[in-house]
Amino acid sequence: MLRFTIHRILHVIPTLIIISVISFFIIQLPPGDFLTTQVAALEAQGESIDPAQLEALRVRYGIDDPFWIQYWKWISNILLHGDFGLSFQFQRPVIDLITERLPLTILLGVATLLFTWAIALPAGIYSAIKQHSAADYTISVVGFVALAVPNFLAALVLAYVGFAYFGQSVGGLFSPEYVNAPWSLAKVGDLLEHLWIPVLVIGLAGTAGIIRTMRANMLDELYKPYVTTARAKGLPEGRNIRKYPLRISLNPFISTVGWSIPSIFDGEVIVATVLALGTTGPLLLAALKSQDMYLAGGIILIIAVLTVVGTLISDLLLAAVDPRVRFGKA
Amino acid sequence: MTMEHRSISRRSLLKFGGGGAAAIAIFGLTACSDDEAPNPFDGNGADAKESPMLTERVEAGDLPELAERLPATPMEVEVMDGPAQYGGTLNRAQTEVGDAGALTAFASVGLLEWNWDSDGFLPSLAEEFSKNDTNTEFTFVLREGLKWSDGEPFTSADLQFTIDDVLRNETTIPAAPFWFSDGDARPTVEVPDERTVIIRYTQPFGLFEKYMCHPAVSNQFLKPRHYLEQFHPTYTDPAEVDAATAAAGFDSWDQYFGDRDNWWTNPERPILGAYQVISAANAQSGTATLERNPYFWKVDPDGRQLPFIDQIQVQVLAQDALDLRAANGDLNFQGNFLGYNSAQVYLQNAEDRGYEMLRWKNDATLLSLCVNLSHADEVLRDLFLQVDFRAALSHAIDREDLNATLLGGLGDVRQPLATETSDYYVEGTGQRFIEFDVDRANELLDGLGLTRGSDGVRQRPDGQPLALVLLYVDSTAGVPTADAFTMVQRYWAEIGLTLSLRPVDPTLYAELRSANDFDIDGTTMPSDDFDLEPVWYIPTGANSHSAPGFGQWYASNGSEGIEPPEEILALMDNWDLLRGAATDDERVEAGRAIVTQHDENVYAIGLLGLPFQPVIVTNDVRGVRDDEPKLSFYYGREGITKPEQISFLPA
Repeated sequence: MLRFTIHRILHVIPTLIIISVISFFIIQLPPGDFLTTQVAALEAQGESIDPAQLEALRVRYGIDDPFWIQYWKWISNILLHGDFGLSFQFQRPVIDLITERLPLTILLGVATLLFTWAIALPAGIYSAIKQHSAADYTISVVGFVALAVPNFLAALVLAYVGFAYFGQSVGGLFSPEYVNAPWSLAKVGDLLEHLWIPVLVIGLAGTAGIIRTMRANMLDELYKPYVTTARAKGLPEGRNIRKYPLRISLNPFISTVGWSIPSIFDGEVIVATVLALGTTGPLLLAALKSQDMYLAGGIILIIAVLTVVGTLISDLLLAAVDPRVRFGKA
Repeated sequence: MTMEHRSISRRSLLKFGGGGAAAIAIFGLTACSDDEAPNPFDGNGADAKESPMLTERVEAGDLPELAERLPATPMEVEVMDGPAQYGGTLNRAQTEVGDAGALTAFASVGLLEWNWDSDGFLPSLAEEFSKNDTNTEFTFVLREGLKWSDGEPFTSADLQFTIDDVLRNETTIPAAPFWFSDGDARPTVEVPDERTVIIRYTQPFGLFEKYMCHPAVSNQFLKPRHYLEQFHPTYTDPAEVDAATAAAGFDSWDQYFGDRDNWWTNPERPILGAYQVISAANAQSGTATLERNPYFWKVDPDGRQLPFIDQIQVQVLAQDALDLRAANGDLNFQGNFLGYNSAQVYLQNAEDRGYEMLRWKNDATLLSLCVNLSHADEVLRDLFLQVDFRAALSHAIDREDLNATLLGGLGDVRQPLATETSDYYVEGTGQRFIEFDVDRANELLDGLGLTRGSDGVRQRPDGQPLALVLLYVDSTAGVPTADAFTMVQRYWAEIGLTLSLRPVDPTLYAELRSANDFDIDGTTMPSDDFDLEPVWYIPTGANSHSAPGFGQWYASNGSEGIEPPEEILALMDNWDLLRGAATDDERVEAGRAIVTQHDENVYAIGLLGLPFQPVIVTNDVRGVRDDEPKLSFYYGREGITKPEQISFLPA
């Protein structure tokens, strides 16, 4: 097991290096740079910047340096000083921007994940037990519809319903009067009032996959001889299912749990942007749109690291559960 | 400030209509006479000379008395709807986190400011302003006893610091902006005493006063020396500055200086305007809170300190959420970021949600086509430089059809030239080549020798088919560009011209333009204030919309770019005259010459303008202009209604 773990961890390092190079490269692929984006935004508002001034700013920000120099500057600061650089757009250190959004992002991510599991796991088990029943079909249809409807659209529709029928103020995780207020019970209540829309929208969309996996796993197990044996021995049906097929069919689910880690961090970019949530998602989108490379690069790098770490955790969990993996060629 | 023409506004009539004719008569009187104003808020704090919020702080000993906070002669501002009460939080929203527009609108500040009609200046922080005959020396005398928002005195030393150590410093400002250049150098400052400031140019600068009123420029002359000194290596040990810079995560001291100087993101920076940011929008909440400046130096005619409203809250939202917020009456006073295309939704909900949608003017903006006069392809350049060619393109467009299809016939149809509301308006201009006349267009093109091929497509003088590409940014915020240009494509097909549309990302758009790599540019042109942003009308740089090649030639003094022909040189000469005018008359004359030349030559072909700019005001807000002023960047957008005098109705 130890050898397997070390091996896996060693694999992570080159993967991360390649990811960081590629992400930094992709951010710079679109034409122009942060400054031209700014100029375009200013022009849309009737302002203009003198080209000479632009050139001077470009030199100051080091935007004209070759790719490798920029990349090296960026990655060496992160590795040696933990410094993710400065966001052009916000004019603040990237790490501050990310950390102050983390608590709400994680709250939203965890709430959504728990909501998804709370809905999807029982629904999957139930639809397997009652295969081909009306309930099975209903669950599948709802799950697939939630998956198929674009999240941002669902969010907008719910926001519009909130506006049109309940006079609710749209956008953000807090009402205007609580946004900059210190934490209090009332503020927590206000947060819960706003949190349900994104949790519902993102959570429901995630259920379909888990429902189908769970249903298929259960169906595989339900008709195996050991279940029949247990049943023949007179074990009550509920206990039988909980004790044997359910445990086994949870294995594939556990082994993919690690993949949820990055999704907790990035907090569903588009939905969060549409609803103006103060999470890292909108930050990433804004950074990509304005070619704010250090900010975008920083977030993508963190997501990449979390993805790789999540996969590592999944691998280890799987190895812990399944001896075939542990003693395989790895 | 003159207010006679607005003594009774329609809105105040509506609001107080319930009180009957007597109330109307009283309100009429309040605004026009100097008699003791009848007070509708008796016992409701309308006698107070300052906000109760500040009185509390004075009583707690945290703040000096009002008299000590105000200057010797505070600036008096007429209150539009009569006596008002203090307090309240005004809610607003915006789509970009870094946009400081809320401050330039609600807390603008300058040595001078626009008058009510935005056609001349009022002394503002400066009590007196004079200049010499040649527009090279400008003298300001500051009000006595002005204070920054932290209570420190504001003196000429602050201006000297701003100009010598920031604006003239090549590290903080690497290339001088247009409003702060003097030929190849930068203007200088002299401060003979605490209250006098003299700014000198060597070459006449005819636009100086306009820029000093421009809310996005005027505040850049006002930096708090006592606060910023600690971040400037001229005043503080460079090692210390570098250490602080590194600790804050910046690479060089000027970046950190700029960060500390940013009045939108740094709540610690003292300000002079009506409101100060107390929590910034670039934090996690995405919401900025602005609070009244206790040392604000403007008062109403009764000597009551302004502003009336205590706080402003600005939330950063996506456009859709912002529209829904506005339609829900959640935004108290907002024009910027509201699109014409959502006006219908705003109107439908106005009554239910308790707000009114006013129709303000936009900055005379017009969706237009600029042919690239400095096209890299010489054949096309020669063709584009022919007035007959451009006239033919203009004649071929059926603007009535365009207007009826896209804006229900409500749109503004003219050529993009200064309108009647501008100094530079020339009687009788703006309608040349505008009538839809395909025969005339064909005749003009035939006259240029552009014969039609067998497929009906005209050929360029070198025999190639005449196929042009229209570069634009797809947008539905104003006149929907894709729809409008598709119609143009059809109109021009009638006269034998193949037009392809090329919608691009805003960034690529800017790049292609400055690389002189386009045939025709589809752009929205602000027509009235072209002197403050000349890029559409005069090729002054590579960012020109009509001739980047000539612009580059102009900007580089002839060392780069393409040499312009006589007529464009004449346009540039007039621009130099306008900019360097010694008197207003000379400036206006040069500006009109530019307008006339544009009119005669139709360098830009106008399509359609929006009929109005929606502005939302909730029913509990009073003091907002309803005489359809302009919502324009140059006049501080909502700031044109002097927001320090707006207030909430008593609850």
